[in-house]
Amino acid sequence: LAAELKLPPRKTRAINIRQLRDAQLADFKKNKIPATATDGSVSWIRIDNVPVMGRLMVITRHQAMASSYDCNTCMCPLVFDGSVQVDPGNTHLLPTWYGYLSCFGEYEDCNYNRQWYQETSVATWSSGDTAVATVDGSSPGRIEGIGAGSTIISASYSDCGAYYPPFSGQYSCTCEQIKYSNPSSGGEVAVQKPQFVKVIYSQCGTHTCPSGYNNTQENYIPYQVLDVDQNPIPIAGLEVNETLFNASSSCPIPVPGGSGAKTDATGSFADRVWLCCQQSWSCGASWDQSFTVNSYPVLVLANGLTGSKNHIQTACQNGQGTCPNVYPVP
Amino acid sequence: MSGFILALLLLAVQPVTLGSAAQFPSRSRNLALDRKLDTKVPVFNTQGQSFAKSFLNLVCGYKLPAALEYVDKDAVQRPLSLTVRKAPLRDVIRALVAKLPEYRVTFVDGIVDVYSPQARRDPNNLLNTVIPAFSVNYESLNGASTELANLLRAQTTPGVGLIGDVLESPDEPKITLNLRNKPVREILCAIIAANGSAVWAAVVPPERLSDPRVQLWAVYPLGYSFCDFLFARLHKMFMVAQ
Repeated sequence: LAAELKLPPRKTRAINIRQLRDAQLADFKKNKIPATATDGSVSWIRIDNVPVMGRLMVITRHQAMASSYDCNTCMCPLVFDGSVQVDPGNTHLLPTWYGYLSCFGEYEDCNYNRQWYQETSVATWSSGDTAVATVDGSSPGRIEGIGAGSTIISASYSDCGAYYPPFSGQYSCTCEQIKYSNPSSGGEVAVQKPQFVKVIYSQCGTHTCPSGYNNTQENYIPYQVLDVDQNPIPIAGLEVNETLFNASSSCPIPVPGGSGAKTDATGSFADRVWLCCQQSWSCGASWDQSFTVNSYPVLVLANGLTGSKNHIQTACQNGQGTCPNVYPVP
Repeated sequence: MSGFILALLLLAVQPVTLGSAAQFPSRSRNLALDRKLDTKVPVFNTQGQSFAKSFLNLVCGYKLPAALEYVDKDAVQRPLSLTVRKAPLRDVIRALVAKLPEYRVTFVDGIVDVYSPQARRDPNNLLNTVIPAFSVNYESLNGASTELANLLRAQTTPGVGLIGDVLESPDEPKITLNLRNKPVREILCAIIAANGSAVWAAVVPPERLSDPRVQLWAVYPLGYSFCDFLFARLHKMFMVAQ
């Protein structure tokens, strides 16, 4: 702000902020604080050690603390605050299945900005109950389901929690205090025997694609959720989610995002699949999908086959289309 | 005689009312939403949770069709301190949104819509992309969202195929919509309002709302666990690899 304010130590004075605002000069990027600015709506960006010509600003402080903003002049280092989080917070596995956890540590800079950083590879991992799940030290964060139950997978590590010198004008700092992590949050792992989703039938229809694309066949596949003994689960409200991967196609396609649904009163849900290609392309695609029910991975049953994922192949040509082929694969 | 005239008037008025309801199916849902928003909340406390977490708790707890058009790091990570006593739910949400200066909220068209005016003005924000024609007929929530994503992709990234793989519940409400020249965010709000029990949220940080290669939004039916999925996804957006 374009104002000169000189105060003896420990003295205060009322300031008309509106007058200051209206009298302000633009900064070096010709920005001014707008009249409509509200508390917290203006962001100040600090840029350290940037070569400049001339003098930009002088801040003079006489004993009383006007601001703690620039107390630490050693390159504004990030300090570890001890908070550690294991992600995902909850994991559901089947026996012999594996997954990966990540470890994030929270850091703060001298402007009090906080950020989580991944520290998976430097963390020390441990399992609360190795009869339920183990965590692999040689491949950090890799967990494996052993037997039914639940346990906590923990991560810990240490980093610098304060730097020296805190008040000098030096631009390199020495770690003054190693901070050890607090007990990590998250990392709950539950292991359960596998349930199943069974393809009830597969039915083809026509999908109307946007203008400029071939209309294509659309496959409708209802599924039934089965329990560990392969009996239908007659309970509504199970949450089914899918993950899509290994997509390949003769026409360029993005990897689609997975979606979720709740099962109906008979424990069933449905999957619809289609592909729209531009008319100049030879149409066709394949991809894999895996399912979770209430976050637990499930096996896929179809045509007497069992697999950990479903493979989908679809093809279309000149708007005629071929009905997608769906089968489980290991 | 006057009774006969009254009966004639009722007969004359009834088809108009029915026709009007058929044309604007979201009207009754607006009333339902208004009733929910008038609910008196004895005590609301953020308990140090972030804006996004607190908002989703309200949305899922009271089953409010809702939108989070813009999600920044502050909204997901900064702990909030707010207590509101004996206030209508609408005022609780207003008080919550007021804690973040760049956010606004509206309660129109059958949806609680949280947005950033600045993001709405940003021409690079793909959620502002106008879709010339959006039409779905008896479509599920995920299906309608996927169709919209495909239309946006066709418009912003010519030269890619459009793939659909949609999970749906056999008994979930189906949506029929015909919209012309509406931005993506308004179409999403219309989808949510028509469904009546869902939420959509931007699932990329603000700087990536202009990236046509990423999934910009997600839709979830309302329910505590789906809200947990959504919040976990938002939280993960701002964790970075070192």
